[in-house]
Amino acid sequence: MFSSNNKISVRQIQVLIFISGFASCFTVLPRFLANTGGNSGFIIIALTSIIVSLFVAFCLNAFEKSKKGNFKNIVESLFGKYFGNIIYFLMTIKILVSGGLMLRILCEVIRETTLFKTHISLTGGIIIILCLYSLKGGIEGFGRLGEIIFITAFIPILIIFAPAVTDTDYTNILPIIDIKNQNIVQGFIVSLCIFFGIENIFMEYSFVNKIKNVRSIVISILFLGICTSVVYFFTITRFGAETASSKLFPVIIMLDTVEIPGAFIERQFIFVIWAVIASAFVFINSSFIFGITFNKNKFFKIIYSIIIFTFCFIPSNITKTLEWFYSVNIFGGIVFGVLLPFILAIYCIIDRRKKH
Amino acid sequence: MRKFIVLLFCVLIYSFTLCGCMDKIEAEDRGYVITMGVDKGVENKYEFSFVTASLSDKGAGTSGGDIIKVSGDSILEAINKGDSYTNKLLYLGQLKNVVFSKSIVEDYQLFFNVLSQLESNRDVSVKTVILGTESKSQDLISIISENELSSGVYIYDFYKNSAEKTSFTEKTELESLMIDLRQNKSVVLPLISFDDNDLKIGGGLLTGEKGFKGVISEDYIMSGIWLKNKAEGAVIVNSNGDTLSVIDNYCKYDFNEKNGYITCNIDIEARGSIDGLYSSEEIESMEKDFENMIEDNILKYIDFLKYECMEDPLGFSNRLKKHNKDLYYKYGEEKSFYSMNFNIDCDLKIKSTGMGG
Repeated sequence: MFSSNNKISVRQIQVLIFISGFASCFTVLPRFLANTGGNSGFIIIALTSIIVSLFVAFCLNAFEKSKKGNFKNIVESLFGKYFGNIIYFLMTIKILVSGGLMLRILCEVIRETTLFKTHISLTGGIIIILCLYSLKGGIEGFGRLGEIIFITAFIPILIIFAPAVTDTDYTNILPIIDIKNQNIVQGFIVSLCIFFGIENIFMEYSFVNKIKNVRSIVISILFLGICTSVVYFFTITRFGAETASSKLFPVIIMLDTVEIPGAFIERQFIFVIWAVIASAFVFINSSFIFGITFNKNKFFKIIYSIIIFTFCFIPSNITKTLEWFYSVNIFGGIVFGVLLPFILAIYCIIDRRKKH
Repeated sequence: MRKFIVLLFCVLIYSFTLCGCMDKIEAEDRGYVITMGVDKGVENKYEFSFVTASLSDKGAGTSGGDIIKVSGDSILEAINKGDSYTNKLLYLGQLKNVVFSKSIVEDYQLFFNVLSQLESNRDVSVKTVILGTESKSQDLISIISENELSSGVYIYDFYKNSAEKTSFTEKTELESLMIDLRQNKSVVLPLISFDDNDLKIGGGLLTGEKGFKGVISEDYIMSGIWLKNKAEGAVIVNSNGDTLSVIDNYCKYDFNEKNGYITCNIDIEARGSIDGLYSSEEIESMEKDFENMIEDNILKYIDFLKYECMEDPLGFSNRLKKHNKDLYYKYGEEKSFYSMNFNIDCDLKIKSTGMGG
């Protein structure tokens, strides 16, 4: 079934970047951004995606030209095997914690919408078992899973969106820039939500088959930014920034209120929830995938499961979970998603110049 | 073989645990609440009346359902109490309408609390229709039920089939009501009453953060509908008895500052049709007549809101903020509506004659 070369295609990595980003777009991003960036949030998202795509392109170009192999090898090459392993392990922990918190968010969404009395330990446990099972296929299986999820989850969302274009009061987005009621700087920081897990791009990139340049990665990041921007735009025009900031998951509610003319189902909730579950599952699964690049040992897989399961239960409620998810990814992301790749990229450039 | 058994075991575990069997409630065990009435309570904050659907061979809600009256400090408390009065579990997932009595609308804090509880209730759809009544909602719902009008489904069907085509009342859903309350700090609830064995929906109750302001007449409601671009299907009769059916309308707003006041220019474009054959001069005269009538009615409504009610349910302040935020901040959110002078220019074109609208 698999080619067993442990490689993924360019299309697969594009899809994985898109789906992982959409997990935050459905859950964390809208409420926080409505509180900070307000009506200008969709512009903030677009600008952030341009900045992130340029940053990622710069780093990946440097890594590729250094010819040191995968991301872990580059870390070890700069920091030495011992400290490199520690840094990579800390990075793995951060991604696992983030995965655990996303698992909690997913379990809460499932509990609120479908399985009201099923304990989240059961839902969470089953999702972790599914992730462990999918590790058998490695990164290649993960890539193929992403492709299937993209088609089954996001095509229906597009169908739901189409009637929203005509059934929207676009004046609700005005005024777009209102400095008195918006915190643009904080909005920029919040919009980085969709790039939580950006460390995975650096890790996944080394598995891509026959890639000549990073243009495909940049395109997928920009595409993610555009789609998230459009989703946020429609959320604000539908509810207004004030109402959107008072709802826990405004995007999910917004998609459920769109009236599809001639539809044979009155509430298209099921498509929306499937898209949320699928994208969150990919996000959580990518934590495991990242973890096994550190160590594939069975013992470590059990450790990863325990870490994710534990952090799924530490926060006492969904509000705390969202705040923790945001904090872990902002602070952890600055260190492992921005500083570390930047330092490594500079190191690779200097090292290459020395050799030449 | 071992792998197959493990896989089969996993599939069975998932099937048993994730299909929601722990939460299962049979359809027959549920009391589907179609309409809910809310009155101000005596011992508790609220008195709720839940009208449940009667499931018969002819389909749900074809005859009057049971009415369960409970008092409570919240909807959830009332639902819990209501479960003890019936052999079914009350369920709000099919709630179509909520009727608020004037007593509850007069107390804005209580009114907003109930709306917030409805909004955050995971079972209640944001498309639930919200209505107001001058009498007690319990009495209204009882009378409707006695007359076998199956209140919930009747009102729901009315809005689905008639309201948008006839345009004398506006459908107010929970979602839009909450948005209006947050943005405009006031709202007009459509009024429902039962007169002469007939259910009537017309007029409105105006309420807001500053308190209850009174009953709005049907003419004023119609003016508000014009300003919200929803006059399609409306029928207007002028002083000569000529009848105009509105085909569509569109309003454009423009704000600027003049002599220390904000000037709001409202340009209304509309098309209509009339019965009977008329000459072009007669049609032009009728167009002017209807234009003047529409402009006067709208101005009267705006003056009523500005000077008598001192509320802005039509959202002029919010519109000013969207179109010209510098002016909005200059005059302030509280004062911008009251600093506005309005110029209304209606351009009506009669597009078809000699045929019904």
